[in-house]
Amino acid sequence: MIRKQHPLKGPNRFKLGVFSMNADGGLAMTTVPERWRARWEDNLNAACVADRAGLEFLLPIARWRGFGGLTHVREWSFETFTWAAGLAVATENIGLFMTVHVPLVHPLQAAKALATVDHISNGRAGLNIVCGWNPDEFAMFGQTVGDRTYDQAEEWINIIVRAYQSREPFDFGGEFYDLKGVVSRPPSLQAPRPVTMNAAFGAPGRNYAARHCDYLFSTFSEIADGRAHVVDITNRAAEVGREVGVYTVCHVVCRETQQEAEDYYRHYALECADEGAVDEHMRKKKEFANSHDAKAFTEYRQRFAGGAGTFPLIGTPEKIVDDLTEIMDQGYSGAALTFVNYTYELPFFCDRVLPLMRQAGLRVN
Amino acid sequence: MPAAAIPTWVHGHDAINPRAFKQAMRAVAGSVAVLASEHDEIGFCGITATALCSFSAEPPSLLACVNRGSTFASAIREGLPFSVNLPAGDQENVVRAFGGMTKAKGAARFSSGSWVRGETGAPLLVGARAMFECRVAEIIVRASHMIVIGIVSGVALDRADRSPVFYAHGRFLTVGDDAN
Repeated sequence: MIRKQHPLKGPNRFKLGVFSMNADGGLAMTTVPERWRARWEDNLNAACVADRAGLEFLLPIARWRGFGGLTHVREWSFETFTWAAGLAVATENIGLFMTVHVPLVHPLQAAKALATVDHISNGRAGLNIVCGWNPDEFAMFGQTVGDRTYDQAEEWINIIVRAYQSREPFDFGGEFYDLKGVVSRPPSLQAPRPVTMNAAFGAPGRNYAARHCDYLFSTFSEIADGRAHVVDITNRAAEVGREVGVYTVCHVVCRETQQEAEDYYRHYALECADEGAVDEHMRKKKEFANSHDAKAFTEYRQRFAGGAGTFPLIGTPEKIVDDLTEIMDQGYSGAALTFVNYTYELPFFCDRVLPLMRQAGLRVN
Repeated sequence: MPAAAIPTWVHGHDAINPRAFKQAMRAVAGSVAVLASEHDEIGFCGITATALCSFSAEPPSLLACVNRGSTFASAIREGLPFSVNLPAGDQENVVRAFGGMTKAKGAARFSSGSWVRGETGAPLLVGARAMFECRVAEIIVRASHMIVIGIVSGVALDRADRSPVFYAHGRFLTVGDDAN
């Protein structure tokens, strides 16, 4: 069996992935009829387009219930281990993340499922470690959102890594987990473990990323604000003798002309925004999530409807490459992208933007 | 690690300034290897080595010289599986990480490059020009270093057509066009 480098370790200076295609709407909250339905065929088609175009990764969102509104947005979503396992067989090169809520999934269940996908995909698996913030989702599990979830996550990842390393059964006595005679074979194909990431915004989550993640995903309101996040995580990682690559998330409307792109952005994210869902999502995020700076909530309602408060890439292929170049110049190593309809919009993006990125020196393939 | 006793083979020779010796040795251009292992207690460890050579073809074996002060050396014992990876020109970041030239320490160095578990359990550097899966057959400790003799149980030629990484005059060098 020929092993391939994990795509995130590949040669492109600026890596690209697709985010949230496993959930209805993607990251958008809109009532337009072409909104993303996230059926399995949709996922399969979009994943294969991204794979063949040479994008580096697919990143799913972990959602257990939606945000209401007219569309019950995000209520429909595929569970991410099984989603990645299915796509691992259908794709050849692209990295496959799984997004896992630490308090809701036992570390040994996660270890085995992650190793399984790593073997099916021939070493393309990745783990997005999330602690969770949405009290209504936790209530479904009979739980509340704890205030020490990152302490639990510390034990959680240590158990997974040790389970992969240990040839002999071991006991684990922690504050959150008390485990006897732990064995988990096979270990992941990737050594010591599959690549890891999180999207923490606050200090405890950033410190956790510094210790345990290979990549941090961070949002910003303006591109120029992005550098501060890079400096922050780089310093935190250096303190513990590690290096962490920084990525961001953007929602994209890419069209032949700037006017077309801006018109469509206004259409789906303002005129046809699912207002009830946007209200509910913004209210909950603001109250519980600590995932955006304050400005994001007050000034950018369109960005929440458009892509859950992420940065918008709106315009011609040239404009989008200019923006991505500026983002890279802030120290970012890549971006996860979302679209209103991935199947309709990814081919145009890949055909038109990727060659310009090569020309601009952001990518070699 | 305790300071090594000066072995008898050093006595009776005219010692020169170690710095002068090191300066002269910088002129030796050699290929670079990344050695890696997984130890039950220490976990994942690895080191960039510039002193590596073929030892015997029957049985297939090679030897590497490793500084005794390194974590890798403290993990090494007879029978331990380890890998010898010859990085390609586009893996200089891996060479630097395992050579202690980045901020990454210990197992965090494995974030550089793409590593998978080999047949013996020792991590292999994916995309290296050649990978040798070995088991430690003998360890010879002298002065500051140890000579590790490894019996080779597996070989993979992943991208042997790629240009190698050399080390000379304190710098890593690659030869040829590595664009393909």
